[in-house]
Amino acid sequence: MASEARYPILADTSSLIAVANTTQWKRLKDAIHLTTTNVCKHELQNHVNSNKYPPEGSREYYLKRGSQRVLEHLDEDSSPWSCVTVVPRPHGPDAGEQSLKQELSEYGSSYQIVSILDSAARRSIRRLIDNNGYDIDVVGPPYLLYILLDNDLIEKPEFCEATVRMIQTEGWTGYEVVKNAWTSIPVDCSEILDDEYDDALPPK
Amino acid sequence: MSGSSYDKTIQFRAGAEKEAAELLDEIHIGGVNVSELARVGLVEMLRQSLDEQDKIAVYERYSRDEIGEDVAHVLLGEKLDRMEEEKESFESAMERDTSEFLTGSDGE
Repeated sequence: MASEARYPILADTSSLIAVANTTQWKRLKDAIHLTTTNVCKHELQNHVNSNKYPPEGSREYYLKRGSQRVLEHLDEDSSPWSCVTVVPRPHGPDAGEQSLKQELSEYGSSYQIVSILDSAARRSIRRLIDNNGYDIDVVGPPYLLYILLDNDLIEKPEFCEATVRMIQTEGWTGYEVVKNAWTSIPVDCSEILDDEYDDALPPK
Repeated sequence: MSGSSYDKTIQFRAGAEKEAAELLDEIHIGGVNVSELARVGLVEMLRQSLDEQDKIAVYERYSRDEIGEDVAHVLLGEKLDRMEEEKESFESAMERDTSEFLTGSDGE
């Protein structure tokens, strides 16, 4: 069972599902310390329970598969991931995001990085961080893969492939979203990846 | 710039539009700043005229430093701010000592 320790990275439900569906999941889950909330854990459980037999390749399939992987990892005895309890417990469709806000309002100084998938939620959390004067960067889940690259745990082609797979699995289309996913990532993946990945590379 | 066929002053033949602006200035309490009105209106119309492909082309030129931030901002507005914000945040996160986030085991 995951502890209630607070590690420097705080991640939301969707961010965890996104990395759990990448080709680097096995390496990532044991290589980094990470914290999430009981509310996000509950959202993961909901994804697992609400989709009994989603067709392979569908969005529901990835939600269920990613959630299962994360839950199994959180439930391991010596999990390097932790799950903190947020009270009062927020409810509703954006409960996970709200729980991150609550956690940051109270324990913001424990964190350095917040990984959150939704860009509007990232903006909203940045405002909270600015108002409280915390030194925290709010980034998308590709950053979690970047940590592996930065520490030579994966090579550039592995990083590129995992990032592209994340973009494809998450169904990120449209210029702004794809461009945002790649913006400032210090790796030019276009030289590594062939035409097969065209839809997930920054549009020319 | 000498030799350029493009006059940097934006000019157009204002007939009824000019009269309408003068009329509004006359009847609106406190008057209206016609120049400001024209500037804001021009920005709005420029943004409306851009389709998705145009936006991509503008952003790519901006990324290659072929056009300035002020020009890109006129055309892309908040979209540009949001992309800059994401870029700054990721770059700032990259400057951290990421080895602090590791467990000491690489999962192998």
